[in-house]
Amino acid sequence: MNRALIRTEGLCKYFFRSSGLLQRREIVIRAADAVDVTARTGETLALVGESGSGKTTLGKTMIRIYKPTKGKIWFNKEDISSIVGAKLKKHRQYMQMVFQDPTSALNPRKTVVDIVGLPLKIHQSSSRAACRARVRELLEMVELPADFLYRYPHALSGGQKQRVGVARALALNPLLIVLDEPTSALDVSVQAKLLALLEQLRGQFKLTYIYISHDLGVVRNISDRTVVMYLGQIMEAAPTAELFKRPLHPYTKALLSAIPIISDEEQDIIPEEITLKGEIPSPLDVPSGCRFISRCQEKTSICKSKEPRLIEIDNDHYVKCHQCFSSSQQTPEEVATQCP
Amino acid sequence: MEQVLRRKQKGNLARAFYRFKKNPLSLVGLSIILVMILIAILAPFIAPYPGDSAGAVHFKQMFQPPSWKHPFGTDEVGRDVLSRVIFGSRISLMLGIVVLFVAVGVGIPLGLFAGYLGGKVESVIMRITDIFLAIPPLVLALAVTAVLERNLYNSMFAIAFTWWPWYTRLAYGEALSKKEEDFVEVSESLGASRTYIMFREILPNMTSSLLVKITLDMGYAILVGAALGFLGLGAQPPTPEWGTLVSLGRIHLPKMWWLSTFAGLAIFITVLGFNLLGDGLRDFFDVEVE
Amino acid sequence: MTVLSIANLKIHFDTIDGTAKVLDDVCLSVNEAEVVGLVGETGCGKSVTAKTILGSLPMPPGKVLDGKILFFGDDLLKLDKHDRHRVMSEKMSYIPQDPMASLNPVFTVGEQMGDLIRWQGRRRVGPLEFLGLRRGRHNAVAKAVKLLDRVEIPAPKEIVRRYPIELSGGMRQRVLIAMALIGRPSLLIADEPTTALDVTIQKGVLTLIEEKVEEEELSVLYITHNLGVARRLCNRVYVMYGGAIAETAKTKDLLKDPIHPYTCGLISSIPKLTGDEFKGIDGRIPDYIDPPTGCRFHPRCPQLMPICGQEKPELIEVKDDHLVACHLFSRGGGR
Repeated sequence: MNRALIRTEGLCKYFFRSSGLLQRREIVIRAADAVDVTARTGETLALVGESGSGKTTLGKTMIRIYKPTKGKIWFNKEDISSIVGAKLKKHRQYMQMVFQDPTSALNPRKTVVDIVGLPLKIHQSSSRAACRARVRELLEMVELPADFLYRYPHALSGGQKQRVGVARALALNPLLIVLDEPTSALDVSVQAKLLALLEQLRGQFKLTYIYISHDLGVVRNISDRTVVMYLGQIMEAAPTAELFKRPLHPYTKALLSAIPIISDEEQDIIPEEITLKGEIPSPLDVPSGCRFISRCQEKTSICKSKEPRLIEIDNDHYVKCHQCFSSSQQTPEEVATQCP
Repeated sequence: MEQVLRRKQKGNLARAFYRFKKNPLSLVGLSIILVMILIAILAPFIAPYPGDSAGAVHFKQMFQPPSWKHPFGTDEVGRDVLSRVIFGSRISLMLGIVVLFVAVGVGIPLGLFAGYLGGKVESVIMRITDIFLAIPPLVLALAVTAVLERNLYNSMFAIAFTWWPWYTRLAYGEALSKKEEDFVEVSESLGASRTYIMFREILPNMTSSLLVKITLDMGYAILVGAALGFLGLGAQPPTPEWGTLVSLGRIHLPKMWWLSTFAGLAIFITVLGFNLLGDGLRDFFDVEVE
Repeated sequence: MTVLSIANLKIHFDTIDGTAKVLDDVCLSVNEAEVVGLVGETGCGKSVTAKTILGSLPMPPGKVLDGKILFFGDDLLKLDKHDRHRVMSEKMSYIPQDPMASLNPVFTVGEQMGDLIRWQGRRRVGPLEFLGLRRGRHNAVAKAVKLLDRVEIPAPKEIVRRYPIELSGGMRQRVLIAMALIGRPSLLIADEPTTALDVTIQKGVLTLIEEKVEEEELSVLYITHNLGVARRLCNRVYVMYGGAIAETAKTKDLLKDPIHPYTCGLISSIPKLTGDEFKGIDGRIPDYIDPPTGCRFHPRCPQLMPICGQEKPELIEVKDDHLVACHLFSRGGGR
């Protein structure tokens, strides 16, 4: 098993608001709450969840786009949770991000060469000629023609814009790339090509990906390990094949049940038909006890009063659910059968 | 490899002109401005009596009505009004350019700092801006010129002094909205300096609204300059500033109407030109944003 | 009985770069009490088709070159504004993709629904009524509460007093569905109403649409890019590409046995839960100003034949209710 490239320990990201006469800071949103997650070198870790799950916040906090509120982040065994200044700048080279909306991720007033060359200008103070050469190289890697150098984003299609975003992320030869739903704005046929490109680049440059998505179909096919999030916490985490074969948490099962599948073979994979009632609670108003309580159909009294812990049921398969783990004396098999 | 379009796409300039053409009034505005600029640049060559623009005096020819020799007539000391109006265009345009240069140069960076940096910087800058905005521009300009010596340069300074807050407000609004865009977050995450983000990421995205405002403001600035001149607070005689010309000829109305009228017409046409052009640009940019 | 029937619809659109030939002989039909899916990716022309039916496509620069849109026998393209408005407001309804775009942010849900309940189908409203000084107002709100209850919105009495911005995406969509059903339409045109919703919420909304279709015996033209959603909801599906229909069949048949190379490419691009391999389609969508000659898909087709670039294929019935526009099956081409 590969070693961890990036690991978080009790990572929290809260958003505050100052209010009152004394301008006291109060917590408004617990976007990510006490998250422990690990991405191993060379693997693709998927963060899955719907809106308000905190997956994007977690991804951005892990690579220090946001400053963590609490907890630790270890990158290559180095604590990067509170580094600043030159040290932080150095680390930024190793961790890059590709954004969800290709249109707003590219400055409409800049040309492709300026956009992709920006990281080079900031971190390597490259000359214009060196920049141009490197950008040409990067465009080739993402299969865009060299004459796109001087184009503006509005002249590009969605898929092409996203490739520019990927080229920019590759500019500094990073070790880790966080991809925030990079294909959700794209058509299915374009998505498939982009995913194939990403996979090829991963092998070629020995990259580690953290892939944020709400699309379980994509996740099934491109990730090694999947983490399911809800309202800022991890509900379940397991190797992808295992998660899809044996989903344990009620939310995971509901997610699987809700995917619009297109074939009968896929229908067999889905464990049971679950339609969740109600809405995702607002992150401003998180329920006490288990966060999933307002929509769970298996809940009992303990779920309301006590927050469950994230516990390893089986080989690398973690679940945060009272119904799945009531006694520490039970064997993993007994526990698995107990899960509703 | 990605395929590219087979046919040739029209260049950006061609597209821009095509859209602009759709609005005939803005073309009228553009023509007026271009003619005015030409007149201002070529003033010494096209004015029939260039000497009359300053101190020349021809008492024998005073108060002559418009004729072939003097198409705009002569004034109270015999100077050719046409030449004076032509030279007046230099003053007015220069006033507009200088005022806007200062207003934009001071106002935009302040607005960017306030919008992007937030916090105390934002509070301080915006409160000061609000104070200035609360006073009517002409009143403030009057107050400033009352304190300083009365001449053209001080009147330009006074007007610029009242003009910068509008640009601060414009830049502030744009900075607030643009700083939430992903590409700004990208630059931040790459470690770009705040100055870079303000001036190289956000500012280029403001150019359309900025251009529209500058164009419209040119007209207003010239108008305020003429107003100050009219009140005797700006350029002093014998400088042929349009407002001053209108003011000097006022007492001779309506008998010797040509003294004020042509200068007044010049103000009117110039301001109209800038307004039409500015409106046209605004429509033009709206479509582009769409 | 056929509720909606589009035949040979050809639409051109004038742009700065030239004339875009956006719709090229579109043919489709919706029968009573059936849900028909119009599936395609971005730029295939499905939104243009919907807008033309609804009459919201700006007609210069757009122009209809050919074709008919028969709605209960009337050709919508030939009716004058007055008649068209009457026919459509009585029998047709629409759910858009973005609920925030259709709900006025400065009026409460109750006020908007109330207006619709009272004034549905009327072109003129008297000044007194407009000011709400006639008695109908309270009854209208009560009716709105009942309708909201029928779309399974919790606490409807509360919701009628809320503003759209206070509701979640799923709730807004339910409100729109309720509003769309107020006039008891015969045909509902839904333009990707669940695309912006979370997947668990989407499931609830799709279930709701299913129920309503059965209850009200609605016909639905459901526009989407998601074949999975089409599988769930639609009896029949039209696959659209490059402004024309590529293939149409009963949903089950299309998914089990796709014939057109584009449909096959589309299905194989979708990542599946089974972990089977998936790959995209080479090339890009056609340039409508200078479209490919013959079949518009031919530059990207893995089964290209010489005739494909020369002649446009007709929609031909290959199997029971299964039609395809492809030279592999035409008389000039193959089997």
